[in-house]
Amino acid sequence: MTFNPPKMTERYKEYLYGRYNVLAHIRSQDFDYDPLKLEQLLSEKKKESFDSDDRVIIEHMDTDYYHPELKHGIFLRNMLNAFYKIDIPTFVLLLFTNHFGIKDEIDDILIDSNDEPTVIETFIYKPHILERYDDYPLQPERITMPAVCMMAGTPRSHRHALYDHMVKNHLTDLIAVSKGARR
Amino acid sequence: MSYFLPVPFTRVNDRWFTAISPESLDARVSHELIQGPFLSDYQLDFYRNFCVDLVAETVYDYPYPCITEKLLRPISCKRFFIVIGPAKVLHLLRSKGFDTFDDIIDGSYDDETDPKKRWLMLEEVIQKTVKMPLDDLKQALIANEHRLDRNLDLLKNLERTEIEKLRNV
Repeated sequence: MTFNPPKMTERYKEYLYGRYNVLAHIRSQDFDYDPLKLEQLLSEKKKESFDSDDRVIIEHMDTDYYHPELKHGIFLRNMLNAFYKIDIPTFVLLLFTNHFGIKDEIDDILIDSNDEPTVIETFIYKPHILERYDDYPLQPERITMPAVCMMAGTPRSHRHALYDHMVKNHLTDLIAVSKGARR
Repeated sequence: MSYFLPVPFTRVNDRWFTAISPESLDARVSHELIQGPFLSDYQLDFYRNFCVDLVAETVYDYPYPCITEKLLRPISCKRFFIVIGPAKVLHLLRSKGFDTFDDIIDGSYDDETDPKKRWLMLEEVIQKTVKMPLDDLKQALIANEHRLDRNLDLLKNLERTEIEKLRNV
């Protein structure tokens, strides 16, 4: 099986690998369309019994899908189902996530409230956390427009709606819009 | 226990935008001021041409306040920001110690969890902000440089601070 490289920063990795016995380290994106891939990985890591510091780290920095008729995110539900299906205690899961407050949703899915995963909520992950930031002087003399809006990347309907609002309200002389500024 | 796999599967929860003008999909152009040397992918020289970043986050109608590199960019470039994203993002930033400049840009949209109502509030705050005289915006930026500096410092140290907190749990 091949997996995408983790987004966790080196400092976080050093800390977590020092604290826990990491059995596997993957990203939600690796299996969100294919829960059987997670199931296969968990099968390979299955043991007769798990030590209290054993962990499977799953990075959850990609967005989940919330269907109006479902109570929980599809990725989250499938992920926990895979643990239950392979019969691995959920304390082995360490969810490294930028979804602040997701613990309540997890608690709602958990079968045994005493078998809780570790959840670390953070928006510190690669590549946008830099090793070094420049001081960045303001240079207000260079300011020639009130605002900028970077809409590069994946098209999203809220971005289109925003641009629509700018055009209809004649704001494009006040807001510089980009669709391709990132390298 | 079974898995749930809707087809087509999409991570974007944006069904409530039903009347998108089709021409807007093709009309986006990169403004001439958005170019120039990259200090890094996230500290951009051309941000010095502007006072405010309208941050079009990855998701908008979403149950959690997710923060991505898009919002960290104005913080690292010392600019004001308005977040077109999920509710409670400013609240989350403040909980981490960041200044969200609510005395300069009304951040009350952040408390509105209804996406339609939040959108109307955002339209209003965007219009109000970008229509401010440019000199007033510049002066606000200059007068608050110490707060922008503090935000950048906080960002520089955030990783270390978070790990330290985990060590002490």
